[in-house]
Formats: sequence, structure tokens, C-alpha cells
Amino acid sequence: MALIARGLGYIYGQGTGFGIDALRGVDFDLSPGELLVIAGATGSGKSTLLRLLAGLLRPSAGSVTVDGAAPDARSARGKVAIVFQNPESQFFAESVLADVAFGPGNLGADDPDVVAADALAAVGLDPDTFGGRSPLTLSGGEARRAAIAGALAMRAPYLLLDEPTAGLDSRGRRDVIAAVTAERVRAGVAVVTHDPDEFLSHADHVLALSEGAPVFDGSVAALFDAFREYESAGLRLPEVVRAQLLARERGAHIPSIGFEPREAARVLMAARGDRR
Amino acid sequence: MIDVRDVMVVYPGAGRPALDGVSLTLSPGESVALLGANGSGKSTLARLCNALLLPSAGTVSVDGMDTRDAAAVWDVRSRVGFVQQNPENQIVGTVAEEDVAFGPENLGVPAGELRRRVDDALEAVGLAGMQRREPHLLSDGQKQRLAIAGALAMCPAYLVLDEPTAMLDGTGRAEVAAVLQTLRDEGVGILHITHQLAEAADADRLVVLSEGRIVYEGTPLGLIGEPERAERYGVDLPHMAVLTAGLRARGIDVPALMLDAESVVEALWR
Repeated sequence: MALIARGLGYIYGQGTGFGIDALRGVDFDLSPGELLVIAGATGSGKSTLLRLLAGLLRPSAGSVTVDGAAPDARSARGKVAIVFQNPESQFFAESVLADVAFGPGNLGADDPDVVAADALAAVGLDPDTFGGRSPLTLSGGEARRAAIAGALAMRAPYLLLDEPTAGLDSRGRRDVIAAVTAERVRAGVAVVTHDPDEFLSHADHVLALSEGAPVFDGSVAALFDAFREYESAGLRLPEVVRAQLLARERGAHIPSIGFEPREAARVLMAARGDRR
Repeated sequence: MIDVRDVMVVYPGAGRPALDGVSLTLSPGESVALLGANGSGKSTLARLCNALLLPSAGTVSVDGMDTRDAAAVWDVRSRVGFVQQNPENQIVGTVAEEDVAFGPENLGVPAGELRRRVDDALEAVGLAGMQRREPHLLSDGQKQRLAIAGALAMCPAYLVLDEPTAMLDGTGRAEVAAVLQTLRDEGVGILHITHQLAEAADADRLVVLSEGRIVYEGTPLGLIGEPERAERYGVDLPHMAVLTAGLRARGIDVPALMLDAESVVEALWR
């Protein structure tokens, strides 16, 4: 059981003579319990990939399957939940709880309000405090999390998120990252972002795109070994991680890379001491 | 000068004031970075500067005009340009030059002058030659620069930007930062709202809001020296600044503002 892409490609305006080759040659498997980070600069094909995975576009080449079926097949319905950029602009209900309960209600859940309350709790918004409020009164970080709760409430086995932390402050990002990574207990999670730094320490798998084609595909440890290649595609690892990789290149003994800056300082000092 | 004096803003039904006893000045040619967590009052303060919002108490004046004076409101707004976070929400034209011309054209600026303003504004943001480009074909960084050009075509003395880079990737952020730096050097007063201290490092002055009050006013470097305080206010310190602080605490002599990995490794293994 997995969300699988094989040789996936997409051309906008195919056959018109003005076709734009937005994506080509993408392969991956996403199983429940995994976090896949899809990294790439603006225009690298990330959002096109997300639309293909959700069945909103039909591939020009290759295929997407959801537990063996096409994403727009009846048996795939409700299996892929997607959170687009700025999801908080899509609120429409009068209360946060009603907004989150809309999806499960449509899917025929027995008690959508209970499902919605669980989803709100999962993103760190107390349903008793926030459920009755108008979505318009939420702060930026709260609104983003409420919108993500709307997708969690679908209880889909695959959850896709497009730039879930863009525009949030550090507290908001921390809360969203915690909520998203916690979903792995139940679902396969794919995060599409131009700023993968804060997701890397949680990622099982990284797929990097540049101008529509994969430039790296593998584990985070493999990514660190291939970081020069990753950077030659115009992508950049977090500066604190780079410092440790550069030291490693110089021959310093660094058995494991620290993601957090205070930890990175410790790692670098220890490596320096070793050499003496 | 934009002079915000002892201002309070209370939204109907809200528990605490969005701004409480806030004072701030912005002079032409000065760049001030305004930082704070989501909900700290940054956007409220931005909206006070060009009379999109009026204070519940206290005063806001722009070059001596009180923003509550209904007769002065258009004058105030032509002096204070406003750029929002999402460029998609502020582009109205079908091609770049029409979008930039929208403001001054509505004010009845004569054709020759209008042409000059539009070309100058596009040039200032590095979009010269893209006059006929359709906005939806621009990159996000270019779109945000187009939105800034639209504000510049009004020849503002001040520019207030509410998280103009939040939706942009690294390249787009660098493009916008370079444009803001140039405008400041040309004498425009810049109020740049962000929650990334790395983006505020070039500002003349840093002001931090927390729960509607100013809790820090000083140099960017001063706050980098106090990481716990910055974190408490919801301000993102550059991770490299935290790393170098960690190294300094262990007796390594590296500058506090060394933000690239190469220099740090060089300093450690020299």
C-alpha cells in the first residue's frame, strides 16, 4: 500500500505548440508512516507534482497510483488529503469547528464534529477554546493550523502539504511542524517546500527538483554525502549543517550531524578537539 | 517624518489592545525593521501609517498631517506607499506597465509624466524592459517587485512593507532586499515588517513588538547578542548567529555576525 509515482511528467499546454515542460522523470514511493520532503526553488515543478499526486492534473508521461488505483478512480476517493499554499484563505464556515467538520461530513462520517475536534486537538488548538470562534479571528499561525486540521479530519492515508510553514513566525512554524510530523503515525506525509531546512531533521526521504527534474533522491544521510551535487542544482542545505559538512570535507571526524545550532556548535568543537 | 505617538488600538470584541502605548518615528532615508511574533501588532502598526486604520487613542502624523484629518487622507496616502505580503493580492493590471500606472493614472497624472514615472519605477525594481510582460508570467520575486513598483509610481516619501518576502524563496528575498536598500539610499523612508532577524540585519534601527507593546528598540546586532530575549519575543535569530554564539561561549574568537558556514569553518581550523 503506497502512493507511487513512476516516470511522472507533465507538460502545460501539450500539443498547442507553446507547451511548457514543467516536470519529468519523477519516481518515488510514499508509504504510511513516512515523511517525504520535496524540495526545490520557485518554478522547479513542485506544485505541479503535488497536483498530479492529488489527481487534479493527469500526467503527460508516466503514472501515479494510490494503493494501486489511479488518483481519480472511485476507490482512491478520500485517500489523498491536500493542503494548498495559504489554506487559511479558504475558510468559509462561521466557526472553526464547522469549517474543519465540513470535509468529514461530506465523506459521510458518523459524527463529523467529533472528528473535527480530534483534528483540532492534533494541531494543538484546543477545540473548546477555538472551535466556536470565527476563523477570521485567528492569528496567522492559528489559522494555518486550523486549515491543516481541515485536511487531517479527512483521515486520509496520504497527506500532501504545499509550503505549510510559509509566512509563519518561529512559534507558528514549530507548531505546524510538530502537527505535520505527528501525522506520520497514521499517514504517509509529503511536504513540498522551497525552504526544507526545518523539515530535514524529520525526513525519511528527500526528493530535490530543479527545473522540473529530480537532482537528488534518497535518505537525509545520503543527501549529506552528496551535498555538493545538491548545491550545484541551486539548492542549499541549512548553513549550520553546511558548516559541519565542510568540516567533514576537511577531514574532521563528525559521526553525526547536528541540526540545531547549539548542538552544531558542540559537534564542531568536539571535532576540533579530536584533531588536536 | 512619520510620527506615531503613544498610540492605542482596540479592535471591537478583542480582549487586549492590539497596540498599547506605542511610539515610533520614521524619517526619509531611514530604514526601520519591525519584528514580532504573529499577532504582536505589526500589521496593525503598518496600517496606521497611511490611515488604513485610525488609532483609538494617541496620534499618527505624516509630515505634520494628522491621519484622522479626513481632508488630508489622500495626501497622507500618496506619501506613504503600502506593500502587502502576497503579491497576488495587489496586482490589478493585465500587463506590468498598466499595473504600475494604475495609481498615478487614477490621480490624473498627465500622460508624459505618467510614462516617466512608470518607467522609472520599473527600472528602480530591476524590471526595466518588462513593461509589456503579463504579471502571471512573472516569478514570485518579480511579482513582489512589481507590487513595489506600483507603490513607487506614486512617488512616496515612505514605503511600508508588511512581510513582503514571506511568500518568496531565497532568490526572491535577495531581490527584494536589494531593491529596499537602494530605495533607502535614494532617500525613501522604509518600514520593513518581518519576523526574520536575518532580513533585518541591514536596517538602521530594529523595533520589536510583543503583545502590542514595543519591547526592544536598537541595533540588529544588539538583539543578536541576546538570543533568549529574541526567542521570547518570537523573533527568528539566524541559526548561524546562535551557532557562533555557542562557539564564542566556548572561547572561540568568531564575529557574532558571521553568517556563512565557510568563514566559520575557516575560523575554527585556521
